[in-house]
Amino acid sequence: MREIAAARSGRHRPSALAAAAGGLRDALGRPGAVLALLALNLVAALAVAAPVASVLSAELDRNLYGETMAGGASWRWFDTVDREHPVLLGDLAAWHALLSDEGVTLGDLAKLSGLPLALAVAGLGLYWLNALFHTGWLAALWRQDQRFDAGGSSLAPGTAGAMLAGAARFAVPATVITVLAAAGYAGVYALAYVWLGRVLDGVGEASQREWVSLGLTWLRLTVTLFALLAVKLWSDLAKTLLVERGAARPLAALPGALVSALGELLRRAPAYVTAYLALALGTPLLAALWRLVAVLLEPATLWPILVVLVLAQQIVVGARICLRLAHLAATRRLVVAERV
Amino acid sequence: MRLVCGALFALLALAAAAGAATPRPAPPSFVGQPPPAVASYAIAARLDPGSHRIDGRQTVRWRNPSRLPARELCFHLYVNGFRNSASTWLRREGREQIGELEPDGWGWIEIDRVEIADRELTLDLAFAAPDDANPEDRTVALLPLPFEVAAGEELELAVWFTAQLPRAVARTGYRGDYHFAAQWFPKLGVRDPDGSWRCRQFHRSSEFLADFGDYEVEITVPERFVVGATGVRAGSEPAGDGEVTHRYVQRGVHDFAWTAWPDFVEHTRTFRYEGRHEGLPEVEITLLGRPDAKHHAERYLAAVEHSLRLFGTWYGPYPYTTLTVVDPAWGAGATGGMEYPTFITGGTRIFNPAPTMAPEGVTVHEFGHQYFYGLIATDEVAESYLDEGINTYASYRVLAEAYGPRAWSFRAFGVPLVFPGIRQSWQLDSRPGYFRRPSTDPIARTSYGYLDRQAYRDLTYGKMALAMGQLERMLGRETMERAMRAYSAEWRFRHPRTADFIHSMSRSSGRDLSGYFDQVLYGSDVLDYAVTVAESRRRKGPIGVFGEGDERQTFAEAEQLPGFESEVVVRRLGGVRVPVAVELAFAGGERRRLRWDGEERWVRYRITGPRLLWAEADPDEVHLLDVDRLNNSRRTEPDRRASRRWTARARFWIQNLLETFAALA
Repeated sequence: MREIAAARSGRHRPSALAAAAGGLRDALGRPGAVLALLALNLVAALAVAAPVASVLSAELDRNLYGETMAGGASWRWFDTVDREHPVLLGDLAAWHALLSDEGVTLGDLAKLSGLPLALAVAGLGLYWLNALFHTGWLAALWRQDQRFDAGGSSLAPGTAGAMLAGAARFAVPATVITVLAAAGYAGVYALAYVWLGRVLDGVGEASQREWVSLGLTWLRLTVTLFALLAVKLWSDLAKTLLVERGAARPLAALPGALVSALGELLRRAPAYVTAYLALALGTPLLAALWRLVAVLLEPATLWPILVVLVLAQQIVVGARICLRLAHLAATRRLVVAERV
Repeated sequence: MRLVCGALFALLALAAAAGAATPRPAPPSFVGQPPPAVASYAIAARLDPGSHRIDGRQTVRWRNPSRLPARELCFHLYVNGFRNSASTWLRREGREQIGELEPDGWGWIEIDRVEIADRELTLDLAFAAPDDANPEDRTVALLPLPFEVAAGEELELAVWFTAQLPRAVARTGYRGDYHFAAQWFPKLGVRDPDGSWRCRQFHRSSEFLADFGDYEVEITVPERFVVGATGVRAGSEPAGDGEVTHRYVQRGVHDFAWTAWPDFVEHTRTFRYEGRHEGLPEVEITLLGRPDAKHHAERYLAAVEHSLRLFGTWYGPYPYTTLTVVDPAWGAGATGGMEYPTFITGGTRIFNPAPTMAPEGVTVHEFGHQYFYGLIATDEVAESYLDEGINTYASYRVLAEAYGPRAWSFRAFGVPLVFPGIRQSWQLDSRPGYFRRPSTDPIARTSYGYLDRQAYRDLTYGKMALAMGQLERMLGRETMERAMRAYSAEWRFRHPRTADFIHSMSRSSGRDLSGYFDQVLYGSDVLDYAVTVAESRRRKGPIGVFGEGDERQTFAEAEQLPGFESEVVVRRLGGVRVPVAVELAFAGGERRRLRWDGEERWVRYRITGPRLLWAEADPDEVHLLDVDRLNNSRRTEPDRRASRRWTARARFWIQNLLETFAALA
């Protein structure tokens, strides 16, 4: 918080990378927040995974395929389970449509069932709950800064209570921002992914060269990812500005926060993108690390290894949550610096 | 009337068709004696790449192969399947393809003039729709003859035609300056011995049938085009105006297709193989490849070499001197994965790592059709399973022998993601569609008579290949090879029917296979054996009242006896009845094999001895058609290692997916 206090006094403006590092420190300094979000994630995952676990037990425990699946994987087993338990994975065509150039329609979404439906419902629920949590977390950071500024070292730092209070205070405007961001994501999907994909597909095929098609596909993906990132950064900025401005009247501060967030993003997009991507690199690094570790944690024979595996999995998910909170904190640091 | 016999015809017809003086001798296109010609074609065709139109003139020499005189001829005009949305091809299962053709990619073919003995008969042509009476369908045309053609007599006719290629769709068409001409000329149907014509309309789920003959085709294209075609190239000559005429000849085939594209990269290789007992004839292999996929050329050529060696060894030598493989232009994939005599199309992607077996799989399959469609010319419309199903079985054998199992993969954004740890058996895992809807139809149907196109694929390719694989496991590999080789030899250059196939296989294997094929070809019941009970408990003495009078005793507690009593119930859940082996495994390593004829709905086994560990029906996986392998085995005690492992993985994936949602907040 000293950097922020310093920034407020005009002595120091953090670079994007310094903001990212500071954001990471902010997130790591509050393990309670990470654990709370991890618990939320785990509860939702256990609920969604329950029918999967039930089918796995039914189709493996008394089956000779279990021997193969304990040591490796059997394509035929997966195929048969998918066939015999169609509700488990639901309508795969709807998933396929989501990624194809044709794009998913509302009709496709209405056909979702089984695990995909459970995932979608749980995912949307978590999306909203985490948006509220983010606002509460920002409010707690803000309050903490104020106390530092006031030289109030005797006051306790941001607590879970402060976070919940902040989340409750900003629940309505945060929900509005969340809905607008969701609409933004849907718009990016419809325009940058589906529409642009259809246009570029024709160009690629007419070229009679596959590498042209591939290049256009990857261009479209890049455009889509950056557009999604823009929506995400705008959403983070809007929440940050809302908290900074709206302690007394959150709803009244909402319109100004929405507009200012857009202006802020347009002015300093490279800094926000750099800070975000610097932290986002952590996810593929985690995935690569997990690939190495997971091989050693093969629970086929010894159940204690299963316990270690589950704990290691939680560390990975927790690290992702930590990175997510670090993104938010880094954005806030840049906002504060800009406003000095 | 002019009936033409003998060798003079070929020279006269060629000279007329080509407008040339005297054709040069063609290089050999056939090893040994070709089959007697029934329908031979001499065609001169010119492609206008700007309008994608072919102007052609063909001279057809036809011998009446039936026992009865012929009073009419029946022509296929396949390209008219793409003429408008009312055609039989496009109005039913093909309607999804309309978007590929509109607004200006329609294809059509018109017969401009027909002459027999210098007598014009164009106005006598009439379209027919023998399958569905669709008045808008113009894929079959009847030509009444001005005279009878007696059994065994020959007839010569000249046909002028114009074919407008469609935008690449279902095996034929153009994309930019890439052209693929398949089913592009008026082609005669097949006249059966009883005098009836087999000349069906063009349907989305149907392929072709024609009689054997000799083809001599001249193709005129702009000089910049690289051309490939059925048969041997017999020469190329300038045709003026920057055009060149390529001449192809091929004896003993029943179709002719060709392609032209300026960007083809040509790769060639000579196939030579000296087997242990007898060698195979040399074959000149040509690959016309995409310039952006040149790095896959070696894999294409190797796949063809494996095919020539293994198909040749198992089903008789490949009798032609050439084979051309086409890798269609990007965007024209609709012309890929198809077979024509001595000419096949594949398909690949820039990124196709070896474990995906992407060019290999399709190349071996399409080559296999040189046998099961090309040489053994079954009716691809009435009995499509005899070529697709048998060829799928045979090509999977080649792929398994040459390459082993492949890795599971899927493609995302043009890049394949390969999972080397998940292996897929060619024979067992490559056609899972059948198991999803196993009872939609019997296999034995016309190709367009199935519930839908998916059912056509699942049954003609999938179920038939599985039925053949199961037959191999029932008979033993050696017997199966002997029977298939005998069938291939007996019916080479002929048109066998299903009954001929079953009869040939039964005779060669020494087993009456009619009962098996009755169930799997003509029935839609499923095969499913399940172990529903597998229990083992310690033996105990009886309890209750024993003895009489003064000796009456009540035993309240059972006496412990040595050993275990085990019970196994195997049920036949499907309608298909075939004998099945049941294996029981006991503590201490003992195994017992039992055999059940499967006639009843269930069988119960009670065994006294060591503790039973598990029971399995069909432990050797003979029954490839078994729709649910998961219920084939049962343990007496659960083993939770696998479910724990995969539950932990599944939950972790779900956690990560949910975190991705949360990260958007």
